[in-house]
Amino acid sequence: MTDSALSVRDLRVAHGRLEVVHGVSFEARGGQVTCLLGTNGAGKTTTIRGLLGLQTPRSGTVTVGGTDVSRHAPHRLARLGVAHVPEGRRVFANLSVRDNLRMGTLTRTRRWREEPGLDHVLHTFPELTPKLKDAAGVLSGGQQQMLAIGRALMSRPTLLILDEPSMGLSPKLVSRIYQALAGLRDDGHTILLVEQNARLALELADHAYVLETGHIAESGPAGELIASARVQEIYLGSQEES
Amino acid sequence: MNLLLQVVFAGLSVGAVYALVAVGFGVVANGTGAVNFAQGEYVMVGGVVAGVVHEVWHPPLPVSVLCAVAAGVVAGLVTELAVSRFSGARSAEIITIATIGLAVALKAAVLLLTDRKTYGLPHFLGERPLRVGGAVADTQTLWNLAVVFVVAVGLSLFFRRTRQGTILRAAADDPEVVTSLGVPFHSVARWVFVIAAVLGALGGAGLAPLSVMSYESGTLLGLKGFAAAMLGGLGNLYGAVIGGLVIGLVEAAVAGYGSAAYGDAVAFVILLIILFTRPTGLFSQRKVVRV
Ligand SMILES: Nc1ncnc2c1ncn2[C@@H]1O[C@H](COP(=O)(O)OP(=O)(O)O)[C@@H](O)[C@H]1O
Ligand SMILES: [Mg+2]
Repeated sequence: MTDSALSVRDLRVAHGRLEVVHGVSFEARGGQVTCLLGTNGAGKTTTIRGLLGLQTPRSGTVTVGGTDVSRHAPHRLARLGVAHVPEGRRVFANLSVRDNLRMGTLTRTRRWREEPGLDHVLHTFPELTPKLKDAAGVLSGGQQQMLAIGRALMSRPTLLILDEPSMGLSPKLVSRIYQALAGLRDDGHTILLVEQNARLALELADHAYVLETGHIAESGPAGELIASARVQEIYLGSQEES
Repeated sequence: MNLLLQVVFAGLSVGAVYALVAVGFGVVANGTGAVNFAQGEYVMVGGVVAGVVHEVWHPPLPVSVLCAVAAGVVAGLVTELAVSRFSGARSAEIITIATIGLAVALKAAVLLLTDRKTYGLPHFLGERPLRVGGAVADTQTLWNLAVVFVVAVGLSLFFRRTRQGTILRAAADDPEVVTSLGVPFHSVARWVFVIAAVLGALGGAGLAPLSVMSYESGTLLGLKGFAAAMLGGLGNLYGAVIGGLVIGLVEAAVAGYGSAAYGDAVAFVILLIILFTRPTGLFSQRKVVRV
């Protein structure tokens, strides 16, 4: 049996007074891709922000690799090897691509010029190599997504959390990103993938949870969930949007 | 005597100090989003500490200046403790308000310790003024301009080339992502407040030979530095330097050709003009449109 890299129990998160995540429980196993599916507004991003401590949860327990990290500040999770590729990419627009990638090494080294892992990231995303000196803000959406993932990979994460990496990208770029994610899975990375694009995500994932208005509505092995009516609905919804 | 040159020298001397204060405002605004109302008090602390050390122990001048810098480091650390640790503040608004409280506290502490006394320093490069083109240039002008130049070049290298400088630039883009990458907010806050306070204290030491410093010198200098920062675009390093020098020059021109009584009003008129013509300019530097 693979051990639990991340375990979330009864997580409740609110925006101000309005609770939008109502006691969500799930886990991500080591070496697997776990997927959190849901339509727009289901509470996926809020769940992730709550477990990372970017937003203080109302209640709930979060453990990472057996360590209780409930109510830990975000920087402490980073130091435990949790890397976050946030919704909307959020690269540092005014920093060069190279400096963005270096920012991913902060938990690994105090030296700035060492850039451990840079070759590996550029091997995963060779598209970034000619852009190293450019400001990240001038990259295309697809390149920014690669950069956001690359920045997370620079920390050699034990758990990689991606929030809708397909958002706002053309189908061609989406398959490029997913090709890279498949490579990461094959390398043995532990991944928690948040998606609206249910079909693509389920092709990649081992296990999946369906989030509906702040509750886990369904869960199971990815292969079985593909046939679920709920998943079909999410898939149709995401099709209408794009 | 050449009045124009005289005005230029006088303007650059104090303008250099406003520039240091303005750079401090920008560094803090970039790192935390806040307007640091304690910025002027750092100048006061630097000037008073250098003056006290000089008066009590008569050490060589560089020692007095170093004491001012050390006081700046302490003031910066105290600011970080006050605004980010104790109040647990995260939002720019709360930090801004916390700095108002800190400014009052710093002023009160110096008032209690010095009992309203004023302090000065001798000119760093000798008391004998330089004669240039029929005007008298204070040697302190040269020193202050040199400090601003070194600070601008040094900070720009620090921000572009070093790990810590890049972290601070990244925090100006997206502070939350910086915390997700393993750097706690208080570390960013500590760096920006220490940098800002050291700049202010250096300015205070450089100003002490030109005008005496007391517990109440900081407020006006802070407001003038803020006007300079706004003029140059808050958060823009070279803009802040230029803004400071321009305000110093205009102030000296108004005092020289008009009346000295109106000199102090210059910064406020400029500040009002910027606020009315670019009302959204206040924090517009911080939000970067993403493609
Ligand atoms: N910053 C916010 N303030 C208030 N409500 C929010 C905020 N962000 C999201 N919400 C609300 O919380 C709910 C869940 O949003 P979110 O977690 O972003 O969903 P998802 O990521 O699944 O699209 C939605 O109803 C959304 O409107
Ligand atoms: Mg979302």
